[in-house]
Amino acid sequence: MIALDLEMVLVVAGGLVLLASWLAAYRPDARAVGLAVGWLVFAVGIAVSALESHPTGLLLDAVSAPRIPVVGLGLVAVFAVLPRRHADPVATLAVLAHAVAHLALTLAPTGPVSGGLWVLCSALTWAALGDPTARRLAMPYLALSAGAGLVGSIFGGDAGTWLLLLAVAIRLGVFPFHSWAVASYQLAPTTWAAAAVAPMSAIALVARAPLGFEGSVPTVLMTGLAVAALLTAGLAIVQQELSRSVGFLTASVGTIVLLGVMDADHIGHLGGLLMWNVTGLALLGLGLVAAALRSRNGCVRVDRYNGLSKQAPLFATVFLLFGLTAVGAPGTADFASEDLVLHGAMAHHSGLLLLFVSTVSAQGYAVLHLFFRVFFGPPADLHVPEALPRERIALVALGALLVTSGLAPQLLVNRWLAGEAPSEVASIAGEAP
Amino acid sequence: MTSESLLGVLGLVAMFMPVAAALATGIPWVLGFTLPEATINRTVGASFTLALLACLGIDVIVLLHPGSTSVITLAHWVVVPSYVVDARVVFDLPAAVLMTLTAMLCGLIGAFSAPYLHQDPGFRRFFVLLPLFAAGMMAIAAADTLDLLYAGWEVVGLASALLIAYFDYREAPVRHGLRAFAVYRVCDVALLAAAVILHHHAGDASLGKGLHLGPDVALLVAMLLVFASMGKAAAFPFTGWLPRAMEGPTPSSAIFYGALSIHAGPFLLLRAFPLLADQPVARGILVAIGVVTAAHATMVGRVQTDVKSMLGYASVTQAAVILVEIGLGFTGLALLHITGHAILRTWQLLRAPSLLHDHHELVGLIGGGRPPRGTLWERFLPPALQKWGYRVALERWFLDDMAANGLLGSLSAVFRAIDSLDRRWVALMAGQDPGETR
Repeated sequence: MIALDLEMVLVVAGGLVLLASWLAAYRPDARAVGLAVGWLVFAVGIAVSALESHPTGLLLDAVSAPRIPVVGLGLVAVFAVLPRRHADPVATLAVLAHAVAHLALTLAPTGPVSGGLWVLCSALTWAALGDPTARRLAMPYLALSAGAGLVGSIFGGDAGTWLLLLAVAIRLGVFPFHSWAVASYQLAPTTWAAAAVAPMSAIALVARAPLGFEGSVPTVLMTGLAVAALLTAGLAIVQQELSRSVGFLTASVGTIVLLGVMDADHIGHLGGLLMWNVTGLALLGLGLVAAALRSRNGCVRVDRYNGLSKQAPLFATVFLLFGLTAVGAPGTADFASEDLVLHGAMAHHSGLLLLFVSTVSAQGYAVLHLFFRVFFGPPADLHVPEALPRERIALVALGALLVTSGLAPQLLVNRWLAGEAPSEVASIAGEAP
Repeated sequence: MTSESLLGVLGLVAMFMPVAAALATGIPWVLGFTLPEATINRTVGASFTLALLACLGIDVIVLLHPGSTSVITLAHWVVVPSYVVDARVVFDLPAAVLMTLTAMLCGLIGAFSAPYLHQDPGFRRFFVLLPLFAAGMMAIAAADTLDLLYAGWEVVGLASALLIAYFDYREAPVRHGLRAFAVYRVCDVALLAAAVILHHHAGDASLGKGLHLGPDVALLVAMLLVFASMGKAAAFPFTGWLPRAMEGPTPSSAIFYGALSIHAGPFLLLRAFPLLADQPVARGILVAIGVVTAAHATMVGRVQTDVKSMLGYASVTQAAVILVEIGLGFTGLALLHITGHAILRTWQLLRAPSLLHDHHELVGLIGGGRPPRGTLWERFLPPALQKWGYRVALERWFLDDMAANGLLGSLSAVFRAIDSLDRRWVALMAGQDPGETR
């Protein structure tokens, strides 16, 4: 894992040279740049997966290596669906930098380096929102998150763990810190909000740090998180507007992912890691469909039926697919990860399990509720053209990937197990995971 | 080839034919290609015919070699140290019964629906959902682990909700499809929890065979399974979704209420009977639920004014009786009851659109109207009680009102209050008027 790898450096350098040449020669628009960077990151991720040794100083292991192609794919999907009027260079640059900074955080060892990267990531999340009102709302939340993450990374220990947990909870929009994340979906361009929030990049800060607490603390903490996830799932159901509802659903699922990743139980932790990668893409897809609908007709109300399935059948199909994947429907990769997270919860307390499955159930209901409200019922007076070819290709490819990975989740599990538990990776509370 | 291996081959053919049909009709539909109706009919018809032939082969083997069983591990879905999720199927007598019913009735309904839904805007969607529903039922029938059964259970639930909302240009069917799905989700909580608990305590989610559980855990699992079965069986107090589900097209109603999905609940308990067998408390509760449901459904069904609702409640009554039979330990009788009831009810529901024609024909044959029903029992009741009973039955025991104004209403009010506070907070932080964030 630690050997300097010439091939890896050559792959990255070659890609950067190609990108720079292309930018200089053709001066493409923001969307084309985003797509190019996305494909490049994806290609690097695939190349890294094929390498047997990795560059020095980076924690390029089974936790971080799958993350690179996932981030690349996410970027490709975002820029393929991005409406032209939102494709301004500043926001594009912010979203790309946001993705790369989070990748760097995933690759960095815990400590001051990751703390510094966390502050950078928080600033870039703020910049990526692309709307002054959304930024104003998010500022105090992200500042608090940045401070907590920096201090927690530097000092470690139990207090550090709590601070890291607080930092990540704010960034994921865990109740009661959800307001900025949910409102971003409504206030900012939904594409940018989805790109900033849905992939749950903040998990990178704690991906290798299961809770090292003892006694009843983990159970109490997990119960609190489960209640928060249930509340946000319920809030997703009572919303009046699609983007906001998708924001709540994202926050609810993100809470479950955090709960899994932080689980000291080996199986629950593995489930959380799997869920992080799979659910992030599914939630991103869901957000992008909401963004595409919003860009065509403004606000899509969900306190009434809209009957859009006749006008936009492809959007209807992929919306349902992404939604069901995000909540762990059978046949999707998230089903396996959810099963593992539930098993981890069971290891703590059987009451916690019932709370968990209730949350999962509420999330599933929320998805179908939104689907029916948006796509079924008497047609509302909305004009929603069907997906453009670029949107169709991106969304169908993303959906197909999620379904096929669901048929063989063991391939993902094997990757993690093969590189599991490097010796220098320990929980931030000082105990080995 | 031994009988067990032949059983396995035939079982897999029967299981995967509906999956193949769903893919063959679903992929072109998703990609925007319009397959001709005749192609769809032939594809779905051929797949169900093959599935039925395979099921009949299974039936012959099971009858000729009593006790024949074939257990096949399709895949180790997830394997991590100390935790394995297997996709394992078993082909035995109970599986053969439900698989044969599924192949036969879904094939019949496919053939019936082709002219019934000819040139309907949702024709292609129906013929994606029908084989998907059948695939879910096959998984329920053949599952040897609670994990695979849960997967089939969820597929059936989703397909049911989408089929109830088939006439999606109207609001009522969509609302009722969602209501049915809500009931399913509430009860699915128990099934998922039971699967995880079995994994945790027994290391395997096999349906009851050879699992060593402590007494408390065994009781908990049994109770969860009973609760899980109540949603799909429309047992009391979850009967409310059923009359509303009548909004779906008649062919799908026939499958749901009469034939297949309503029996999924009892079948779950039959499959998992080894987990129930030593739990008198759980079985007693199951019998009580069955008795109350039967009383409720027969009473409410008698005051319905349309034939589909009447048949729906009649199905609930029979499903409740099957629950009682399982609770009392008559598993063989329950399996027989499922078979007979499924076939009879499918026929009745498919004939429902021709009810008036059939009625006039019957009147013509017997030479006059039929005598009024129900007078015998009514004679024993005072008029005031008759009126009270009629009103209670007409209001379906006020279950809908209690649900809307009780738990669901309270939950909704709490969530809306939290949401309102959140909007005010957002407006304050963003420097906006509170109305702007709505």
